[in-house]
Amino acid sequence: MKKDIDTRTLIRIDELDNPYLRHFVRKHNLDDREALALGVLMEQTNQMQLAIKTSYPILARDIGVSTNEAYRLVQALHRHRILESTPDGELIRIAFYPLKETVDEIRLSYKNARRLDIIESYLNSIKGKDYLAKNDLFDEVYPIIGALITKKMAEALRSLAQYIDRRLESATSLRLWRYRVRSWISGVPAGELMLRDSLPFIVEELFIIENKSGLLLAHHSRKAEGEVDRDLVSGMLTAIKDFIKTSFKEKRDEEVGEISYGDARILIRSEPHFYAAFVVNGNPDIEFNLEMGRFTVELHRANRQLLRSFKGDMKSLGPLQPPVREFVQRYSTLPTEEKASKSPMKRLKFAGAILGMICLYLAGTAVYHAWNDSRLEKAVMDRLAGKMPAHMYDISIDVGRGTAKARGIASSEEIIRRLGEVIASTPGIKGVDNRVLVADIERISKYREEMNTIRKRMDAILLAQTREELEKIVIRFPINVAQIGKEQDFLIKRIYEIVKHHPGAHLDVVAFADKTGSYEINKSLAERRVAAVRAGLIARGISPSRITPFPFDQALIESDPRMAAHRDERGIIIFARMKEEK
Amino acid sequence: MIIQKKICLLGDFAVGKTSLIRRFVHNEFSENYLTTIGVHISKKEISLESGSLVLIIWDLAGNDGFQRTAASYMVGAAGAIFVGDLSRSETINSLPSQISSFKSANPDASFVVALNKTDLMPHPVDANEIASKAGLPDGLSIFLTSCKIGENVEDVFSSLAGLIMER
Repeated sequence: MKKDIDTRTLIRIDELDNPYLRHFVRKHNLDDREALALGVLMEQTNQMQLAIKTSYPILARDIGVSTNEAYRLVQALHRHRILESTPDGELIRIAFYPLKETVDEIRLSYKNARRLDIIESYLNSIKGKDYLAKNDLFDEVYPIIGALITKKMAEALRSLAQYIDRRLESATSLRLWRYRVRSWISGVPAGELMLRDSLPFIVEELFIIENKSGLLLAHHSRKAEGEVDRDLVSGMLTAIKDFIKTSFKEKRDEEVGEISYGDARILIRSEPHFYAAFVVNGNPDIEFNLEMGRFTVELHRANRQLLRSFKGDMKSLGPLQPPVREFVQRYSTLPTEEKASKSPMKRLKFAGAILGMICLYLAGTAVYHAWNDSRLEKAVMDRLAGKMPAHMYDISIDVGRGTAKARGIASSEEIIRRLGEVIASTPGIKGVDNRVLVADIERISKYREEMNTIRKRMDAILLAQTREELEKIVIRFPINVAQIGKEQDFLIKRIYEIVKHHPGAHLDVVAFADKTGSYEINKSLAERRVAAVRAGLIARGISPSRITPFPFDQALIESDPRMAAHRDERGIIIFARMKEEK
Repeated sequence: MIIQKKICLLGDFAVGKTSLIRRFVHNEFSENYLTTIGVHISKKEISLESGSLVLIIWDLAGNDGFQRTAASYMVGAAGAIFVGDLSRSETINSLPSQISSFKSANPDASFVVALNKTDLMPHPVDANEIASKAGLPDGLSIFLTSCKIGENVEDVFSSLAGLIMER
């Protein structure tokens, strides 16, 4: 029977934020106090399933209930087969987690617990000694702690990749499909592939360097050796590391973890006897950071005795070289370089080349057809001219891909049929689209002539109007002035407005002058004024070929009645005419 | 068999540590003085009967400002050459304290002393007498050297190599 809701208990359960606890509550229908008791116990075992020593009074205090209630709760959890405990309740541990991963974790934890037991006994055995080699302690402890940390980090990374996978499942872009296909082929989750590709990096070199002396123990580079001796590089790297450590680090025990230059980084992982310097270009992913740790721990573990006894004999370091080389080779290819032959750029170039060839082919074909069609059009017209009198038809021929399209008129159906036959018989013509219509060609020709006559009359009328308009405009100049002023420019603009609607009209620019002054002076002034007005009209946009400047001729001006009114003035008159009227 | 060892060159500034290395490694000498900043590392292989010994030589700056760093540079050395300038007696007098610092960092390491710049001395000098005056420990291998003329430079290094190999 469930108890009443206890808000404080619920708040404490909520604060525990334990997913396993929620699982147990749901599965075994635990009440709030049972849930809280289990949560507190799980927290005390740090979810690592290590048995804890306790007693009912202590448990009661931790849960916040009476000792009797604590006993009842533990027994209840025991009945649910969630807890295993000694009869006196002194040793309690969580018995069983239903998830497979959790079971694996329990196994690992027990394994580590056994290791910890070994360490504890080791520490006990050395207790009381005056001197304890720090390195020896590290040697024992580091593999366990390092492995635990690495495992936890790997789990976190897996969770991230799984999260991305879930997001990918609901996504639809083409790029994501590419990752899905790669995932299907490689067996690596798409999320992890995406993580790798988004943070490309490459391991250029790996140095394994003795901590104290800076001697190079092992080394491998993805490229040929550089100009600088790698023994000297490892020495200088050690010196730089020591310099940073002694100059900037507040705690002497802290190690330099990274040195950066440009896009490259030297990532340093220290072990008791050596440090590994990974020269990396780009952004290493989280997995690589874990892998560096795993690699150095394992390299140290596997060669601990060798490293301890190293006295400078380089041949004795042989076992270090293969794993170092293998590591660099494993990380010496960028994800994008993996399939160099299928790289996007190469595929793009290939597609470009194919597209180029297709375009070239199409362009060549188009040019050929255009040339051939033009040739056939001429051949058809020549054939028609040779076979049928021209007055019987008035047609145009368009040939497209060997098919002749005939448009126009002919004098009878029979003529149209014969036209079709003649066109079809032209060599190279594959088909005929005959759209010629029957019409009285003679009558049409007559209409055409009438239309031309009418058009000419219309032009003449328009010209007369233009002429009349222009003759009203007199561009006058002050005495001894040939430059265009404001007034003159205004009139030039008006002339332009009149003639721009009559493109067939040509303009004669004629100057006149009064009797004042000598003839030479007047002539000179008149001709300069003509030139200025012409330039003004050209500047407005009238073609120079439409403007004819007339030389100054006083007698001619006096004989023209249209100029009679301007005999005592100085200026310009413009006369319009058709081109052929000159 | 190839043995690789780290050795240090120690001594006050401008006593000729870098010149000693230049003469030994590259057989060169320059009158121009360039002070070493921090540390300069060189490499020289010496042929021995049993194989060869590769010396990774750490030429430590003689400047006092680097003393704290220099102490960390000394760690892990199998040997050292302490250099003094015959023309500046204070540089020889400071050697005992430097030897002491080195020994505390590397208790098992070997070392020799090079009293440099014999070419500047107007008369022949007695190495043992100078060492005794400066308070250098008895039984030390002491060499009178001149980087300018190459006197005893090879001997200093080969003597140290021998001592290292004996260990």
